[in-house]
Amino acid sequence: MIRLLPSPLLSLLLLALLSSACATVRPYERSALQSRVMQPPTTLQVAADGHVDGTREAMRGALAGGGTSCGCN
Amino acid sequence: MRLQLTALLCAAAWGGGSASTRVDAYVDPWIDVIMPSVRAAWEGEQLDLEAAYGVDALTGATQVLVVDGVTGATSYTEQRHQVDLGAGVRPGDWGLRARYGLSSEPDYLTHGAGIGGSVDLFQSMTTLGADLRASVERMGMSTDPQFDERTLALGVDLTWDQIVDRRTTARLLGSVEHAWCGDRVGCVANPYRYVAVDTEVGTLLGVAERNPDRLGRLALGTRLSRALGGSAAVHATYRFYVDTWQVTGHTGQLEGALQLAQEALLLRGELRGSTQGAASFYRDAYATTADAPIIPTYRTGDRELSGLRSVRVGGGPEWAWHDVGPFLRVAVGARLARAWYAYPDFSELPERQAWIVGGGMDAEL
Repeated sequence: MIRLLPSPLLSLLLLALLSSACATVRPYERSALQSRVMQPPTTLQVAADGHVDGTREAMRGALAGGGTSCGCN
Repeated sequence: MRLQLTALLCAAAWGGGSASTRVDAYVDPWIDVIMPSVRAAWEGEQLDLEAAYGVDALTGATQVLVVDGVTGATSYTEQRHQVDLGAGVRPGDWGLRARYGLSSEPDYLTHGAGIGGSVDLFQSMTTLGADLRASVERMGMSTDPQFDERTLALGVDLTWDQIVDRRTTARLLGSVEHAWCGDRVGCVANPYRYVAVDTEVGTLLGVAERNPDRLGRLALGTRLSRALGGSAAVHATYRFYVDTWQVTGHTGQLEGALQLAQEALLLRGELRGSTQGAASFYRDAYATTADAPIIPTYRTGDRELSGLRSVRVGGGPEWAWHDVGPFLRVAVGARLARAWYAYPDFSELPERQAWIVGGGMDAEL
């Protein structure tokens, strides 16, 4: 399976793994991560886009536009 | 519109909730799809609830190949209704969630359900999530009461969210799905679609489409988000896809967001591109020969199973007001996008261009 993965994806995977070793970002230091510009479009727009793409391509999955968690809970 | 106003009023009566309403449209020279939708959500201390409803109203013209091999255009209209319900509990650094969805359209009825959970680790620097999902689809044919094909699909979605630094987040996603389908037309086939087969004696046969009755899918994706200053951000997404029909594909997306006018105005832009290889049994034209006189077991006229390339460019503004009557925040937004699709191995329709427009309103209490 690893051989199937293109090298850019492996690089990003490695980057994410290494990032676990980064210094902790305290909750009060996460204001930039909570900004609206860091949030994805609305759930309904993401769903509509997914529906359109799903009817035009055979590819599915692993493209959740839900954005990344800011760990703010 | 009445339904959308009702959703907003329900949110107003339900403190701590939010409601969204939206209308999207996809328009190309062959098909128009209008997609109104509403969503209401409520987030409590430990409990989240969500409900959404959407309709696809589709009007178009399709090419129909009849048995004598003559093609003709037929116009049609259809509606699909989709209901989604979700609930989640979050007692601490971990949470559980459950979902149910119902999709109904002429000849198709799909029930889908899922359960999942997530856990925050390392002072919420890392969030891991896993979801199991199952769906059952029942497909019929208005022209054949005996036709009754069922599909069972099981899937697993894994997510890893990581805070990289004060301005950067990363997400890794993995998705595996396997579908068991009826063997009369197979998975993701259209029972009304016929494929032309050129026989060795020079006649053209119209044969019903038939795909394999098993389909396994694997998708791996990543998304990086980076805040630029206090009022801008960029997001980069990439996905790799492969399935058991030997379709492989790559999808990339770049998005940007910029806040102006004291954060009241939000501008978004996107550039999305994808490329996909053809399914192993896809042919632009099927034929029998004297050496191989048998009609291929699997044959499809589905251009989405051919090789393709697509590009979408779009964007739009969103304007927000705070403390409007009972609402903490009210926002209205609009979006316009242009999409190009190229199917170089599908000679009937090698190119397709579409407009995608949409707009909506969100309210939070």
